Amino acid sequence: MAPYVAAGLAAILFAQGFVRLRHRGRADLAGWDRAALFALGLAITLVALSPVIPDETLLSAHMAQHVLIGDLAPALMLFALRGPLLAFFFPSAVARPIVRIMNSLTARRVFALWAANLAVWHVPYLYDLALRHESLHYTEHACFVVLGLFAWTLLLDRRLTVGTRLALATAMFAAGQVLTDVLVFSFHSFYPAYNDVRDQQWAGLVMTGEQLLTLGTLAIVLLRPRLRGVRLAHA
Amino acid sequence: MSPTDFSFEPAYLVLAALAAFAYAWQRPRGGRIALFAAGIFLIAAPLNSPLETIAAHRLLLIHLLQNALIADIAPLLILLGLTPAMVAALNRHGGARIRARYALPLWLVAWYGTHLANFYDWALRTNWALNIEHALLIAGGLLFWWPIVSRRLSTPAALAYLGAGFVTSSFLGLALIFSSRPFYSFYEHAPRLWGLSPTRDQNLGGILMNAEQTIVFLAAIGYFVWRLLEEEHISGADGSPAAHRSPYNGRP
Repeated sequence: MAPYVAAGLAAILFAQGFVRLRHRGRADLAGWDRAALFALGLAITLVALSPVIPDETLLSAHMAQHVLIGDLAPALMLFALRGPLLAFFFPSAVARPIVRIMNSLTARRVFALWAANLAVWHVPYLYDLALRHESLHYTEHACFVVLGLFAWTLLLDRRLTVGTRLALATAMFAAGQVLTDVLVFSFHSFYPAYNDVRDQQWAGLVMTGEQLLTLGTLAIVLLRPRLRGVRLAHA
Repeated sequence: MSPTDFSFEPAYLVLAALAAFAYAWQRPRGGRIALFAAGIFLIAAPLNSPLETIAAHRLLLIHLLQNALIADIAPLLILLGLTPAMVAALNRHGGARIRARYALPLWLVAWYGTHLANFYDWALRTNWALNIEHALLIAGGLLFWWPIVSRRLSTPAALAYLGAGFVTSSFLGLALIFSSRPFYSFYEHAPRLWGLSPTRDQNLGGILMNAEQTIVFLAAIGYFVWRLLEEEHISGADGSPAAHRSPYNGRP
């Protein structure tokens, strides 16, 4: 139930920020494309957490769930909120502490937290424990969502240099590769709840594929103007 | 033939010796000599040792190890071992015409083409054709790394090139890892070693290939990301006041 409440709250916050900004005559900063992107992010989160995903029987499905709620959905939602719309998203009462937290984010800190979170939750003992205890499972998902939001806040922050954002993206991909390689390259199952090696290998591939999609797209978007600049210089 | 027996591809001993002689003739200095020597060694040794015996008669895993060494690591080391004068000379004699947009697809054609089942089996059965397979892999590797090492690519372009190479080349290793039947009939009927079934041998070969490429490409990408950060530092882009401002300060 908690994820649906959180998703509903996020939708309400977006709607009020969206309407407020448009009422101020800045529809250019709160276009319908952004509303669609945010809705897509929310929809991905809800689908990932719905019974459609057989996360209790397949590790690959559980991995898909994690990367969707912890990576793709935060990326889409934060991309929709970029710029002034983000400021309108938060009610005044909670804005100050959130701004303080956001101000304290640095690429190194966020990467360290993100990688540690990824590593800790994939320790077989903890992973299995989370499967058996619903509250711990919610905590696990909340950690993925929050750290995903932190990471994408920086990755999409245009005030950071391209190099810093690419460095963070590369570090995240490399850390993800460590986990996926362990899953893909092994010939025995790590998690007692999922006793299928081939499924475990697919889980690794799911994570690599999703990271390539999100971080790869970001890298292309960041590098493209520079490549064009180089071509123009050559011309 | 015992797996510990030596097998030889003499052409690569001769070529390695010629390359070493030509390199020494230019009187290079410093750490570049070690890089070049390591590159030459990683071509000559795997093709003229028990590794060749096992690769050509027993295990795909070892053959793929050979291919990874001669196609990915050795060419990079050889090119890194070249002095700036050598790179400039090579650029004057045609190297400058090797564009990244041609080098990448040609490297991929060599990479995937030499691992096609028909070609691979033919090379292993005729034996002399193994020389052709290895020549194609070495040439492909040199071609791929040349735009990077010759420094004709900007840092963002090098990152894009390496990223594209990493992604597009990884499918072969993944196919080998996820396969449930052997691709190469030669190894299906070859005498086994270390109790590896043909399928497990192939799966392990894919793992080795994928792991090697991940390490090499992420190291190279990491280097160029670091270089991009350096360039931004020098240009002052990272020190501008805007770089330290939070996007959340502009609250209405």
